Amino acid sequence: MWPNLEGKVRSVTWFWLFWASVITCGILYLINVLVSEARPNNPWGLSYGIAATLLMMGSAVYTVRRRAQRIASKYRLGSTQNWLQFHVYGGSLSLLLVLMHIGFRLPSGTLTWWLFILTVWVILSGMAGVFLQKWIPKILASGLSLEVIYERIPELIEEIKQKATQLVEDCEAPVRGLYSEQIAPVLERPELKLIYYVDITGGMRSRLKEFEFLRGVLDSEEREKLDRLQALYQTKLELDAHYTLQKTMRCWLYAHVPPSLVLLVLVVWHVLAVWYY
Amino acid sequence: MPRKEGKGIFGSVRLPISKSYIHLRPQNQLIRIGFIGALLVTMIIGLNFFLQEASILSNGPLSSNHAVVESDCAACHNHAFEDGLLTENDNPTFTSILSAFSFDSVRDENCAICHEKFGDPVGVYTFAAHYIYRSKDLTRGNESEDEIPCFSCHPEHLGRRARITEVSDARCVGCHPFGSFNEQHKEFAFAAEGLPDSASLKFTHIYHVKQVMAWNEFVDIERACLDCHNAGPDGKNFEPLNFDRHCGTCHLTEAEKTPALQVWNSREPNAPGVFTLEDFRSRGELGDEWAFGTSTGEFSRIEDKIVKSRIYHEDPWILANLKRLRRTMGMELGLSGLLRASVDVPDPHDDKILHEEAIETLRSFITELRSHPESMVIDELTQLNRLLQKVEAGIRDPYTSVDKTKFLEGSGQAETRLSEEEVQEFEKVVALLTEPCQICHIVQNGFVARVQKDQRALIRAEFNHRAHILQRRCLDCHTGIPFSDYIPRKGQLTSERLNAELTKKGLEGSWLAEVSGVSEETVSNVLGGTIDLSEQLEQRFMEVLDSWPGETLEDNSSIQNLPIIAQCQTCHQVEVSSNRCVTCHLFHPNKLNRANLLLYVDQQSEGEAQ
Repeated sequence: MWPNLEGKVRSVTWFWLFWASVITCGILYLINVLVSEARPNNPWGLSYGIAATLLMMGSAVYTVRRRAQRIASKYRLGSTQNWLQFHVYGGSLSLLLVLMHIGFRLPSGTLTWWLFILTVWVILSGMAGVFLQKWIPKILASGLSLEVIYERIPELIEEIKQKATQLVEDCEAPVRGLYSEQIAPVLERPELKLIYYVDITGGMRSRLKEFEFLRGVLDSEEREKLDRLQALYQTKLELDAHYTLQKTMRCWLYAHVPPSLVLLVLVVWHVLAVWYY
Repeated sequence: MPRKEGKGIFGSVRLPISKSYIHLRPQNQLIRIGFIGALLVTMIIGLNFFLQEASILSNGPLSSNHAVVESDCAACHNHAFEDGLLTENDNPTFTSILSAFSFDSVRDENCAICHEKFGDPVGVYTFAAHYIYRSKDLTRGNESEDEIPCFSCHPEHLGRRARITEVSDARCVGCHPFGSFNEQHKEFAFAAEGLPDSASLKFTHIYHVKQVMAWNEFVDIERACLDCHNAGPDGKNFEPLNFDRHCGTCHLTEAEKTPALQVWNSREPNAPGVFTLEDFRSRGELGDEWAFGTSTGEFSRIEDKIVKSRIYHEDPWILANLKRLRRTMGMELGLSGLLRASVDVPDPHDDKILHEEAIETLRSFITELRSHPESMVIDELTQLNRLLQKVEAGIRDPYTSVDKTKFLEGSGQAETRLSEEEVQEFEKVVALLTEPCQICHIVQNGFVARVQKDQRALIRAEFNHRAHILQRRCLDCHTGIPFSDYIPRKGQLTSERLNAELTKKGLEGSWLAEVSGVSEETVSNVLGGTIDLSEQLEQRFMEVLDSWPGETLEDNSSIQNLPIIAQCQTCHQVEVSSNRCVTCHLFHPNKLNRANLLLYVDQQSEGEAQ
């Protein structure tokens, strides 16, 4: 009856716990609208708001937990994996609770608009992050022959450039021409290319057509050098793929973490404002 | 030892592995940007809080109703320390200190500053006014534990266009266990309890509708309804019925006169009889001034009998004689002598009518006495006038309760000094005297029963006839009296219908033949269905049926010709029309009785003035 989710989700327990919570929230909200009104300031609405705040705060603690491995181990604060699952599922659930809190209506105040927009932004960017974290490593591992650490990419490209420069010094004019006109500019620096999002090879086949053409007119010794140059060129393109996609994984955090911090501060302001007025 | 092939390199182009451990770039920058953003936001909010009246923190703009006080939070929100939550005598706790520097919830008193005059326990916006709800029964105004503050139903900060007076049903069903209108609203009391109409009139709608239709040559029955039921200016309810406008065309015409009545004999003062005009003129009692403005030509005397040949509505001669007979019979006690009609009020909570009528009578007495030259009388009248003004002011207040026992003391239960036989003789005279009145009115205990003129019904709902007439005709909803069955339109009269009409009235074909002037044989054939109704016969029979004035079980004045709730529910359901509580009901039902224009006077200055 239940779908087999092993291997499809990181934790089946957290997955079902999340959906059970969503259904519970749905039932609660249904009872709410049947017996009362969906308003932020009645006991129902306040309960949703408090639950959403607690989930947001709990999700934010994940960042601290990641940076406090020793303390977490010492005090047995749970595995990072579990904290991550809570961060992902708890954060998602908080969006539902926020929507229940405002009765699925748009807010009307300035602060509440900021809160609403930031909540949606943070949760959506978080979901995008989960998707990227699952998708990018998979296509990098399946489509490329090389695995590299992002921080080493500039250094490795420099290495490839040196090797290629040395190689073409002994080559004949056609190969040197190809190198100086088409390959050398590519080897200058890591390049970000959108093509890698849709084709992990970056259109490799079409780029190697020049090599195929030259191979037909060269002797066997030059052909061997050309093959080595082609290997260096292909490796550079793979490094570019790594550079593009790994950078995406890093930049995504800028869309998620700073807004999350601003959101938390706004939540505090919102709580203070509710208490004050 | 030779270096192992491939050691320290990776990939097809033999790239070197890192010479040292790679430390990933710390993500402090992310946190830093976040903190800068949070700090910036805090600064903006802080500056706004101190310099711009915290417009950012506000949950939203106030509705346009309250926009004028938007920049003044304290107009609605009290600071807790102003409410005495933290006083010098308290042992401050963390919560109390926190509370002291916060705003308190919006209190009803703050709403009342603008919305209701202070100190009125049954003011428009009070729960007491809601409990009483047009019943005028002040005993219902008891405080309840379920009372909620104004803001619970009228939440603010939902934007300029928010309609804060549109309250959802959820607010009502908290106290009223009705639920949705189409499923759980209870039946109207008149239908559930089978309450009759308390109009106190003898009235047959069908007969009158037929007459009005014939008189005005109306084709539609509804036109005849609206001939008497004239909508008020707001189109909601109807104007009070008026004899001159609605009845006078046909009733109490010049031909109307009393039966011959025994004239009172001064030699037998306790014998039943009526005063002549001269008797009234000569006795010179208060309230007899009308006698000097009445023509003796309206009376014809034959020995000891008298006939009044012109009868007016509320005829003063009849009413004065009625009053005198009541007095002689010992039926008029207390203040009931100041009334024109009976003490019984159709709506038991309309007792003020009695006081108003009594005051009107007293005023007419004062007017009569003004011609007296004695200064003592004039002084007395001035004082009496002031007293009446005071009483009137009290009566005008909708929530002042009035006591009608003064009108009822012993009324109808008098220990009469007359014997039972003598009382019966008097009652016979009363019956003869009021014979012209009794065509429409009920006379009991020597009083003409009081009539409810305002036609008010279902007073707890806000019904708008004008809004409904666009959707439904009168007879679509007012089905209590079967007009269509009794008023067949041209071409609709069939032998079956004619049979049904006669059966309803308990009559036979011979009666129809006699009154219509049609042969019995023809009537029998029509009723038996052996011959068709010709246009001429139909016209003749319709005239006969139209002239039938008798009361029937299906048409009499006690029938509440109002729709039952099921009729309302056919339209008032979500798919067709609004079915919310506030569609028909108001929480604050008596807004017309709201505070006067002295609202601007605050309690403090009022106190100082006093």
